[in-house]
Amino acid sequence: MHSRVFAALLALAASTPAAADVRVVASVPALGSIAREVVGDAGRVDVLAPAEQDPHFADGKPSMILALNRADALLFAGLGLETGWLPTLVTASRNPRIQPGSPGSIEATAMVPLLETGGRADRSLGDVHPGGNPHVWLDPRRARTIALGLAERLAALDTERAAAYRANASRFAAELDRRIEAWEKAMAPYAGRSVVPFHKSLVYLTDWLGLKEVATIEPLPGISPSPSHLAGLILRLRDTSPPPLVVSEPWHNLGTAATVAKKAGARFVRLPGDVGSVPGKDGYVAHLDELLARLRAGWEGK
Amino acid sequence: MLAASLLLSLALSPLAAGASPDARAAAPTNEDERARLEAELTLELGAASPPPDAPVVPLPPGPKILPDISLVGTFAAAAFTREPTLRLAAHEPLHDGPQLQEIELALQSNVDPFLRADVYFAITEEGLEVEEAYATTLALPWNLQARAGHFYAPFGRFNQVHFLEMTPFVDMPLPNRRFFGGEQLRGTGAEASVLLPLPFFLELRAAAITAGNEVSFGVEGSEIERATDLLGVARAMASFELADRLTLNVGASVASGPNATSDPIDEGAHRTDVYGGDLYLRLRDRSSRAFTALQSEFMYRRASAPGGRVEQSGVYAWLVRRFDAHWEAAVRGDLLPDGSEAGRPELEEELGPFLEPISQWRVGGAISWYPTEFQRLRLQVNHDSGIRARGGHARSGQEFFLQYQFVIGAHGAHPF
Repeated sequence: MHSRVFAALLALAASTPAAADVRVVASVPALGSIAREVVGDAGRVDVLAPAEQDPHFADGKPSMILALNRADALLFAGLGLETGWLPTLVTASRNPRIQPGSPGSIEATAMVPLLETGGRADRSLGDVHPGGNPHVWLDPRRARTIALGLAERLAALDTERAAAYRANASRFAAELDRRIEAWEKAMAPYAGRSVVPFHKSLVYLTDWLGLKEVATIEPLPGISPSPSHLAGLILRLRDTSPPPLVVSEPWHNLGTAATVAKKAGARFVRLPGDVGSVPGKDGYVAHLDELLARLRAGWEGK
Repeated sequence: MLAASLLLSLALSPLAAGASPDARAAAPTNEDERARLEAELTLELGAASPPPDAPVVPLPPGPKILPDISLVGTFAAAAFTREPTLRLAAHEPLHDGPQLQEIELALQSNVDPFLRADVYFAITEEGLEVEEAYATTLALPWNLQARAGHFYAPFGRFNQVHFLEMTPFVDMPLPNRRFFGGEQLRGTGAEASVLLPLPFFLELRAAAITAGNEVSFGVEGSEIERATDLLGVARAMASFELADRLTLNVGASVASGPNATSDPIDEGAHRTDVYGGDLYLRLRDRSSRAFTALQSEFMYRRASAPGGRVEQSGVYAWLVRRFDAHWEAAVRGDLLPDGSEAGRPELEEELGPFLEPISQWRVGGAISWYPTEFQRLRLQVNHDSGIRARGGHARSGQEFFLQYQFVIGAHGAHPF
């Protein structure tokens, strides 16, 4: 009896993920959506941060430790984006495969050219990311690079399915190529237009589409705007022609953003949260479609 | 002679002749000639120290390998309408007027691919102390993890956090203060933990540490003679996702060790056992930093002393509402119901006043304002019943605190 219980416990303790099922954990939904394209049927992808919440401030819950404990790879943005919640989870996961420096610890921002690098590491400039802006995924060209890079990393970790990862990533890259052409065509009439995001989370999108980020509602990253800052901002925006589009993700103070837009004579667009926050727009492509459609609708006054 | 041979070596070196290292690499015949000359000179002039193969070129400066460094400064101004109830100097406001609660300096880094280290120094009005300093394994098999060093014992929820940064109040709940004192339950030793491979989160921890805690145990490290003189602490914690944004953590803990009611320590005779149960229920709002959380802990202590035994229980519960990035409000109730004695325990040593059975209750509320993520202003008001011991009378009073905190340096992650 005792030996049977012991054997059962042993089996339970040894129940690492089945060889047939690669497990990838992504810190944020956009990276999760890219990972799903690359992993395809070869395994499963779990996403930690909810799509409706600011990725800087996700709750690092014990259930996430469970997912990380079983992961073969962790795909995260890096550059300090998840520093408030992810590192303790990774330590608590007890999983050597995803510890910093391990082959399964995959930093998305290390794969792509970065913007806003070389800034001063100084909190008088707000909650800065001195290594560069970490919000890379809203540029589909960089998403493409991340997908191909992830495929190579997974191929090295799981040589049996290397061909599948590479084929999946190539298929996704080809789809993005087609989409990028269509998106760029649809957005071409708005090139050079001004946008005012709440936080500096759209720099890769504006860089891709040739939009002009004339200001942010936050005076500095992570610093809430004071009335005097907002008054100055509104006066500046009133002088901007044509009027800019004020945009914000749902986790910022939408009332503030809408008020600034109204008083500045500009339009306000509520952007979707991360991938999966809009029902029916679950994949990376559908999400970006939705985001760009909202921007166009804003400019068209719809 | 030696100087002359060195000069000759230098004069004959390829660099002195204007040849770059690349040119040398590209021309193996020169290398052959160089080797031939070197052998010839060694024979003629003796085996002086050979010149370096290539000039020493300083490496370009790279990123320095430094641990993450952060510092949290916490200051308070306090006003008590009567003498504050019995407490030990540590991190709580102790007297009327402005005071330093704590400067916490943290150094954190991986040691190597297999280990990370976390070191926290606390500077208080009492001086400098090592609050925690431990190494944690990262790559043990079987979901195991080990810690060694000086750390907060894995007992309950409150005891494991740096409460000035992590809880919504300026002070400690009464049961934690009464049972573990201002320094909380911590010691030097080792801990092993395991994450069980179940569909839900269940973690078991067990630690053996020094029992220097001066409120329930009081056995200094220098007095340890056998393994049973150490404090044993064990904890089980489970977590459940009750709904999309609703999480429940429940835990049970036990701490057992010798106490210093007799001197010298009498083997196995006088021990203190503390049992605890805790829960944490957290509901996060959908699209903001707002959340609502309920935290409660129950603790029961049984301590034997020469001539008898004392028992005491305690409970606290707090409810906190974080409204947005800037505002937070919290209320807390603490209760130490009447403790009891069996026999005629002699509570004369230093531990005595802390083991004595008492009754006390307290309610309090706090409002916090975070101008940015890196600073906080907090106002708290308590009504405290005062301590009633052995049929005596308690003097109730009010406590008022204004606290300011700032954080500089590396951005630490918050435990859930």
